[in-house]
Amino acid sequence: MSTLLFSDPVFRRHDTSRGHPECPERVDAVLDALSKPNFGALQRRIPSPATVDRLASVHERRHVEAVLQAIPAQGHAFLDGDTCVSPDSGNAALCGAGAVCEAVDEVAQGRADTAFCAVRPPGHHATADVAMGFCLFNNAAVAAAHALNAHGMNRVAILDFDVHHGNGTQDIVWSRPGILYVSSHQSPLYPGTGRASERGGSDNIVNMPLPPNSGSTEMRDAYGAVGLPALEAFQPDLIILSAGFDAHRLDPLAGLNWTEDDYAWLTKRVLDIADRLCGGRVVSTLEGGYHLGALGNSVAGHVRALMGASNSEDSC
Amino acid sequence: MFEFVSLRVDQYMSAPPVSVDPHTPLAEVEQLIEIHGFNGCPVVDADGRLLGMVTGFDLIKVCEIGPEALVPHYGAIMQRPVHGVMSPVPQTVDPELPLTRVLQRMIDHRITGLAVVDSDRLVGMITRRDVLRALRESSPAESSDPQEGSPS
Repeated sequence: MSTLLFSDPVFRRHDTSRGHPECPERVDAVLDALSKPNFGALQRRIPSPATVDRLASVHERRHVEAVLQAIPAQGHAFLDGDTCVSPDSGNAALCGAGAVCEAVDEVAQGRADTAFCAVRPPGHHATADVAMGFCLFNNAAVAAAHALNAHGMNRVAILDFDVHHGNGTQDIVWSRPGILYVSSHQSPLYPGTGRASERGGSDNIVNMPLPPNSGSTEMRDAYGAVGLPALEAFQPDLIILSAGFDAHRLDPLAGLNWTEDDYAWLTKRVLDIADRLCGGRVVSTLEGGYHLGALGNSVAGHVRALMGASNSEDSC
Repeated sequence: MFEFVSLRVDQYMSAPPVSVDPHTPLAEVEQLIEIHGFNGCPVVDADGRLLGMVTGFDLIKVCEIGPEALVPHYGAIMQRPVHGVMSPVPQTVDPELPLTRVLQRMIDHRITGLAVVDSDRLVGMITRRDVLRALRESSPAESSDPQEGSPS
């Protein structure tokens, strides 16, 4: 089983201003965790930037151009109260979307089984025409559209386990029956969307709001009863993971209590479904996760599961 | 303002904490609470393990007028050891916990302070005032957030 790791120094150069939780050190934490000997089999790749045309498959073209024009030549600019950009942010955002699309290419053409994209900025709050919540372009949605358009797939599922609801992904997917969006997230929390009653234009959205302070039991129950059966019933040709690690019990931006084992558990369940339904094709892209230690450890468990680890230390 | 989310308990807790042993008379506890302006005081054993908390409420409650006396015998009551009066500690926090999590717990449970415990040993106390100080110190004086929110 082969697993790709997409990363690029430009993701570290996306400077979000001093003290910002979505910081360059997040990439360091992820790559440090994946530099351990048991990740030696990862095939490391540097992505090419996505084109504006490709982003325009899910974003309004004028939004893409406006975001790129808002990138300052020096210093920082805020697109909203949270979303800060600096001179390398545009390149980072384009390379992030490019990474997830290239991962789709590799997996769709059978050159790899799974892939993890260690990208910044994250993407799932970016709607068709608004950059918000640390996100500029919706990497997962761009990659899902790319899988449908370029690889002749009929059904692509996006499963989002970031602690915040992916309002941007939901916005883009709402009227696209070829894409299923499944999300677990804390509620109430930013951005305030993601009620279970929000089901999409063709019942292609499955929201699983989780109460504050809930943990492993509640998340495993929700995925076991709702999320995973929905994923299976959709019969996807490819599964894309919006992999946020901020539901961890130590994360400073939210109030759920997941552990590293929960991320490994969920990833294995998704891999099981992918093995049965779509040749094991899973592409994962980094979203949130703001406690650096928890982020590194959680990504390690997640990627070990993507690599098909079955040794006892990974059982959960 | 962004800095606040990276702050941890051990950066703003009072350490080492003022504490008492289980045999300390209540009069001494009352004096400590008075001097330091505490809402309560942790009780630890000889190895520094947290046994309980004694608060102003506990001291008032032990003076409650009951069936055994017409008036509270304050002087005698205050000679009792604290171990018979202290309350169990329902929750503690780790030194590495983000202050954002402490803030939320203070709101959810309407608590004024939390004992900080590392490997069963009391290492500090974190209070509402500490959290407010952290918020203040991590925010530029002139700034006001352009918009509310927080992600991704």
